[in-house]
Amino acid sequence: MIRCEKLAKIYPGPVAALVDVDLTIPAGQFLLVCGHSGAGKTTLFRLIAGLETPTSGTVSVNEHDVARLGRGGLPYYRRRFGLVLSDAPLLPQRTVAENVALPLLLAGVPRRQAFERVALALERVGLAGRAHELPPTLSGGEQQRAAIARAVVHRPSVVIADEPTAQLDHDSATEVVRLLRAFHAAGVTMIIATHDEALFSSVAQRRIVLAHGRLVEDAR
Amino acid sequence: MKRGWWEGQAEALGRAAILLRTAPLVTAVVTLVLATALALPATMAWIGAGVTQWFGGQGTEPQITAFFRQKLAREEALAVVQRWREDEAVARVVFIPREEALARLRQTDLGAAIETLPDNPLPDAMTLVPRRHAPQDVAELQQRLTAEPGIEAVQVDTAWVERVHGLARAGTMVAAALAAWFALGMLAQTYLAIRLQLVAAAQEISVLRALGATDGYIGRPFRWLGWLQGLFAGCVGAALWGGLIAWLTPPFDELARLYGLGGFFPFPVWAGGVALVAAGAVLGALGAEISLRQFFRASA
Repeated sequence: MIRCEKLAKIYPGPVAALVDVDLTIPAGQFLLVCGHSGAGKTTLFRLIAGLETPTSGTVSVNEHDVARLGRGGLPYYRRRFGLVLSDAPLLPQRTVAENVALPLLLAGVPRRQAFERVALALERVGLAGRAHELPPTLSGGEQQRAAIARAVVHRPSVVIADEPTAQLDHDSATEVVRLLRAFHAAGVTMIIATHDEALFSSVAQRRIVLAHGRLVEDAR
Repeated sequence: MKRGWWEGQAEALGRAAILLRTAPLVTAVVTLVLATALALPATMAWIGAGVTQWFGGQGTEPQITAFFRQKLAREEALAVVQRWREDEAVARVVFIPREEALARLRQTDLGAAIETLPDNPLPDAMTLVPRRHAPQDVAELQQRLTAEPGIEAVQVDTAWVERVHGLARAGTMVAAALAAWFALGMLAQTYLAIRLQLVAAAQEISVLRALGATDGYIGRPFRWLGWLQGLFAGCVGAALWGGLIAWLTPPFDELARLYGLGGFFPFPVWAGGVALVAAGAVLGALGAEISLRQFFRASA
């Protein structure tokens, strides 16, 4: 379970990206985070994933305060998540397979075993034949599917995806939703930011709306 | 099952090799700069060590040579020698018979000229080493020897040895200062090279961090990179140095022969080469480590 209490992030300026957000996300939930650009969705995701520190308030996972982890503990905390963020794109100079293998190699999985799991993950997202290609040679939809494969290959407990269907055609977007639904069915907590709520309406269990950094709507 | 330490290191070494290959011209230029920084002070140290070795056998303790009168009988000369051996102000006395002095002279360039003389023109002599080396003590001893009835002339000459030793000492110090200076330059160059690589890899590092990479994992390829760059520079530096030594040895050998000082072999070339390669690798690794620590501190 992820709990945010009075969570705030003020950037120099000052710009209040997030203001006093209270949010509890039970394990296994499919949560849709909506809001206009600049509403604070990405900031919320970065705070939850431990990529940034809050100005005030806390993020805790299973009652453990993330702020207390320190520099040494944060990398291990981040490995609990599968990320599909614009901050963490596929690395263009590494092959698709090498990109997808990263979370496994970081977790210390032996190389041979890691690439066996990568092959399975790529097969599952329909990219088995593109494993040895470089990401720039893939279409937008294929890149997004590769990013999803990288997000789930190490079987994280939570997947955070920021606009995973943005700039995709309808078929590619539907395929991405199908994949996320399948991983959710396997017990993974899903936190998805999207502008296209209709696309996820059949799978989302809860929907929150952020506006100007504040949580303004929470519907189950 | 967890992957082994070796597998992680091999993967990082592979990434470092890729980084080196990415910009071959930059790698070549950096390697050449570092190699020069290693080879130049090493060559100076080699020359300094050689000169010191040349004159190492020449003592710096003051030595007084007293020449007996030409007509003084051998027994009288030996009696004088014996008296001075018992003098408390004298550490050592060596008697040099005129025959031995002549034999030594024959081995020099003057040998041919000496052969034309009917008699041995050289007197018996003795060399004395004072117990105390202070200038006033040596001067006092010189005066006492001059006053000795059987002695014709007294000569004190240590200044040239001291001058040469001083020069060799200064040369060695300059080489050491240059070595330290160039080592610092090499550290700075490696620091900068790794820093540029880190900046170029900023996006990759940011992604790796987001995925849960530790600083150790992120820094590993760059540590290998510094080490590899230093190692290459050490190898090129050793080759440059070896070439310089091969070029410089004949004239120095010739110089040594002219002064009757023996060959010019301060230390084996292979030992110097190994030292350069090791120094390159260590300095490269150190420069990378400093660069990484600063980078991680700044990006914390």
